[in-house]
Amino acid sequence: MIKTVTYGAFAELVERRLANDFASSEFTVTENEIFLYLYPAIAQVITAQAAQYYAVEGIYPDLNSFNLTYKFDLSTALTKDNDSGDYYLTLPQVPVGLPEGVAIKSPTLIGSGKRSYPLIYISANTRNFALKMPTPAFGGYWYYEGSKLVIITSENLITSGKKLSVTMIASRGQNTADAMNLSDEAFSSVFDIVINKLTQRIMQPRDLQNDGVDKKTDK
Amino acid sequence: MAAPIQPYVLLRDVIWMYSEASKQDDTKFLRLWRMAFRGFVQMGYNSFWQIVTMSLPVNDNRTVTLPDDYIIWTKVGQQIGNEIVTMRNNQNLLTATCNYEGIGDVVNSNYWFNGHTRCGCSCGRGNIEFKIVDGAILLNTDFEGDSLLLEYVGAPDQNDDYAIPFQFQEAMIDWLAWQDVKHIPATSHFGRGDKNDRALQFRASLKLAKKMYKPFRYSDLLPQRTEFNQGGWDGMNSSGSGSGGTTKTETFSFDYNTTGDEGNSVTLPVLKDKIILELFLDSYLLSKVDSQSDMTPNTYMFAPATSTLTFYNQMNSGQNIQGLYKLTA
Repeated sequence: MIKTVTYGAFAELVERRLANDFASSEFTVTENEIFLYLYPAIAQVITAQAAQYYAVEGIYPDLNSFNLTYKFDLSTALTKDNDSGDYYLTLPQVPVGLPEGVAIKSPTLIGSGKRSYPLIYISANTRNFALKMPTPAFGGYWYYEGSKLVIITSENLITSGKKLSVTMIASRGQNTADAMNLSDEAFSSVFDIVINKLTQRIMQPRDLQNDGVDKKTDK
Repeated sequence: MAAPIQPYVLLRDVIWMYSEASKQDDTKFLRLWRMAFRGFVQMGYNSFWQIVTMSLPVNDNRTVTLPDDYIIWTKVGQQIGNEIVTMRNNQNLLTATCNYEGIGDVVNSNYWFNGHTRCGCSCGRGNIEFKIVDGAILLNTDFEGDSLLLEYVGAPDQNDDYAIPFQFQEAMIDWLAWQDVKHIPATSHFGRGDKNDRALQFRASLKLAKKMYKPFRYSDLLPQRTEFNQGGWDGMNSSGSGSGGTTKTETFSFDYNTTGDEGNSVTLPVLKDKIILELFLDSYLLSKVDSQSDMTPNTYMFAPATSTLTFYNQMNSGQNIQGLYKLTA
């Protein structure tokens, strides 16, 4: 019995559905093309769920089923911007278009079995004066632009040997063997979206006659 | 995690309490911290920042440099022998003609100008004055002494994070709840009613916090009243309590040369026509009994009679008795 659905398994499922069988070698839809439809489909389903919840409750849900935590080694993952003195790293993907704190949680430092307070988020609207006003005397600061995560903290913390733990909504996988970070009800919606889009794309004729004769004609 | 109750709560903990209660995420922390900081300044200055007393050195030019954490003074004094003399604040303008010896002569400097003109006013000990200008205390030129006592409101230390007394925890949460929506545009889903409700809730919480932080204690009241009433019997009146009488406080020293643990009957002629309500021996509240026969040896008790008080405990010479009484006449 299959327990874990990987990105590879999803791609194969889509291929079989489109080809109505195992895809032949002439089947033109590649795995990468399926994933290019898959990623936005996942994000679309997640944001729709969040918006639906927000419309009822007035707040955004935690969306834990879609969260994934990444760990970055501070000493290797960070690059210093010599102009600003800030450090930055590249996230595995651009966070989905939900508010900060929902699309991406505040990073924390981890190490030696301990977890720090969350780094303090700086809003884009206040970025130019946020640290020129009274500020807490603890912790570091962070913000993000696309997939770039910027850390403003002391040099000591960067070289402390700790790791940065970042939790964010993951609508992409790193390789085909990764398990999809998707709840079952969302899986069904995502699958339908991908099939619809790919069906339109390939205009694949399909043999709906169960007469034992294969009339499939690939483009 | 445990949840010990401490006398002080960190500002960030209060913020997270509000964040959690209002179902906000931790990316709103900086905005909320700044709101909490503003509330902390207001509440702290008005309610719970500590009064600090320091002995400061007097500089050669009769100035005293203020401490770094100085915010505002409450008292300035000088210790002369065993006595502390409270100094008066000179309210005159710096450029005014000398009204008091020394102080009015500061004309062209932020510090004491030594080329002063004496006015001929008699500046005795009671006229010791000071003025605070631009980070320093200015003193009379004839000020004698090398140190000054300064009682002031000190800025709290931001060690890691500020802390507030736990009594103000709910007030701070309600402050955050109010400030969180106060400046949000009217086009948002926060209406005027919601904002006003939160403002009222904060007002009530702040009032309660102040009461909790500095609760009314009856024993606190007595010394203040007696201090006010030291001139004699006709001192401060409180609001009347009971029927047909006015409540007053009285301090009288009890000078009894004890001879043992017996029930000691002490005649206090001032008690005539007065009903004793409460009586303290030093800081102990004495229990009131109807008669001397009800007393237990070695306990703090008293039995009032028409013109006498009888005590039953180990009396020492020179002990001070404070009483709250009601005039029956």
